Amino acid sequence: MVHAGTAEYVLVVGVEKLSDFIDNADRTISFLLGDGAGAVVIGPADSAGIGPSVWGSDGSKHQAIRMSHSLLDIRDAELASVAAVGGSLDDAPKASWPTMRQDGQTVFRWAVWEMAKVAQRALDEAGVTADDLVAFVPHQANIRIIDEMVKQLKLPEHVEVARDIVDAGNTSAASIPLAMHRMLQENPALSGGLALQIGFGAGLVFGAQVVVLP
Amino acid sequence: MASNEEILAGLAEIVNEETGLAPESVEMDKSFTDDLDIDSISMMTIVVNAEEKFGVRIPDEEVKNLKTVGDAVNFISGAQA
Repeated sequence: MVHAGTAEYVLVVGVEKLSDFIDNADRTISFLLGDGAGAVVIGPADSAGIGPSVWGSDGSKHQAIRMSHSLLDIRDAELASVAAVGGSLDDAPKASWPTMRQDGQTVFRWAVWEMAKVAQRALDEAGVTADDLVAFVPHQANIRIIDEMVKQLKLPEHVEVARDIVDAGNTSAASIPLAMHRMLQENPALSGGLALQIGFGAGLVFGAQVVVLP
Repeated sequence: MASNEEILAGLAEIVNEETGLAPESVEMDKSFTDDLDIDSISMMTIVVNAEEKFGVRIPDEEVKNLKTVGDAVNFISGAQA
């Protein structure tokens, strides 16, 4: 939008409150997640600060991260109860709240080996190599995914890797801005350097790009 | 085409790289989880590395059936045939 001239400044916000949608007893996913919010302002500059986006989705794995059931299922269950025993919707027994489910192994395999390819494509599209980076800021999904992805991408030692998940957990849509903010707070000298960012999640969907750190 | 002994040796090498376990502790009757203490995420890394090493495809839904090292060796051997 900034590039096209339809907006001078754009506020991009990533926010998530997954604590409303987890079953605390589900050890496959609940302990990984955190609530969070982060935002950046994008504005005009003399030289491009955001490289080409490589993005897409793989619907064949739509079941890998999913909700147990939908809000429509709740409505239909309550309507069915009213139809069967009478009374009003207010009196119908409340159906259980939907919560997130995950096939951890499927997501792990996809996130590491498929996303490493996407991350490499983002580097290629930007016309840079891993050597040109100062930082790698992947979606903070899981420390094992991050560490394995670093291995697959063969990132040089000088590239700082965001590991905000250790403290913040997986904050979903907020994880990249939160991790980037923390990285710049701890190491302001990275500002102005190139960072590879890659986000991925339920869908399964993904997006990667190289940016100049603010 | 690799023999079962060669597959076992290759698998032991992959397990050693991922977990640091001595290759000789990776024996046919050992359970990945109960005997070798390999968690589900390490198991997936081992599976992907085995796919690459032996030129086979091990689908996600098959991984849960690979309880012992022998199960994995036999699956890889069958997939290579």
